[in-house]
Amino acid sequence: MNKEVVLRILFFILLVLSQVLVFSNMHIGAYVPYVYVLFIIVFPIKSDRAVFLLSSFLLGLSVDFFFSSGGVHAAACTVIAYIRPQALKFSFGRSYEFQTIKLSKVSIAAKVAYFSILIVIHHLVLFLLETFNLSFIVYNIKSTLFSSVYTVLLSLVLVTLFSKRKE
Amino acid sequence: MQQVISYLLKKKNFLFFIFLLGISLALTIQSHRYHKSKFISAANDVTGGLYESVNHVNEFINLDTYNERLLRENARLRKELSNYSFHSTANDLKDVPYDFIPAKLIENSFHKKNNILVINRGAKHGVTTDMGVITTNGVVGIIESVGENFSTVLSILHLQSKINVQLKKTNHIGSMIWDGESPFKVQIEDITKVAPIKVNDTIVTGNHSIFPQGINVGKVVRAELDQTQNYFDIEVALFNDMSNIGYVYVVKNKALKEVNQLLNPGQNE
Repeated sequence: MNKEVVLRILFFILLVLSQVLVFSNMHIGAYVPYVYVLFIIVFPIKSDRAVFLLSSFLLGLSVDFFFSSGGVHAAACTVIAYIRPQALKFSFGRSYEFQTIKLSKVSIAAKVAYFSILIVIHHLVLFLLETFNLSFIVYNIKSTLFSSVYTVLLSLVLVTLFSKRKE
Repeated sequence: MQQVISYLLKKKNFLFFIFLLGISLALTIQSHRYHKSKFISAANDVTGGLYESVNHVNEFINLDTYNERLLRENARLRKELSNYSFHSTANDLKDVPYDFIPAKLIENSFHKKNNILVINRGAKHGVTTDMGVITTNGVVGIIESVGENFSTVLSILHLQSKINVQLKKTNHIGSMIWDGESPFKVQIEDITKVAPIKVNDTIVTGNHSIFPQGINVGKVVRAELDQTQNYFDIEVALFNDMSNIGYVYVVKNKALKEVNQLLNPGQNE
């Protein structure tokens, strides 16, 4: 196991624990930031697709264990892991495949677009599966919007803090 | 055949995605079925242990409130006891139909649609599924899944929660549900229009086998006839502050087995 993999596993554990113990308690009204999706957002682009899908699934499943929520987080994470290439292409243009993108070096607009696409879809799948009832559709859309704004803001702050420390 | 294999190989990531999604959807559907023990629950030692160690820290903040609450309960119970002590004997305690297992809530949740709580008592302490969970102030929920040392509680703030309640003064029964809006208010359906219900009436648990009869639930804040004009549409403000629960009691109904046998003679456990 090389250093990269060990660091990634530590990042995984750190994100799950901070989600469960810290971020879940930072709710504003009924809106909770699900910041642990950062793991999927910043996962290296040039990694094996199957490994990426599996680790995203396991990430969601670990969170599900803490929230006793069946498989809703696992499903939401698997979905955004699968559609991430499309989100990358949309936000950074076709060139993302040929160059390694550093999140600290792309424009703010592209970064916000990329984060928002993944987080909104994650939250939408999450809330739809959590209520599992179409009569809550208005509520789900509302929660998706507000929680997403919260998660996006918090994630951007965290990413900025982390990347500054590296330099 | 070769074409099929090469096609599958080309689509292997998509198939893997469908496979993982299938597993998570199956787990989700399974969790939405009430009365099924769950695969994915926090009633295990890893998650429970973590919640408990963090709870030790949080507990200090609320210690004053919990002490105050216990003192008040003690005072109330002493008052009640002073009425009974003249005619009771020591044997009476063995004959009560309910046992109460004290427990601490180590993970609370009230801002979701399906709130699941975790307590630090499990199978080792005699907790089984479908036991009621109450506090001094009122009802909290029903035990959902049980681990060795920890259990999860299906909160009354859960879309699938349904608890038998009644009007304190007249014994008209109904079921308490939650519409998912406010963590301080629940709804009651199926109370017939003949019930003389008014704002500020007290709602208590009904004669159900999970909770003892007469546990406080809340106060009526709104009562209107529903569209069919046959049943009331009632909103109740909970006595319990679901955002600050602390210590709870798990209610063990000693007669439950017998009741179930009488109700379902065919099913033998």
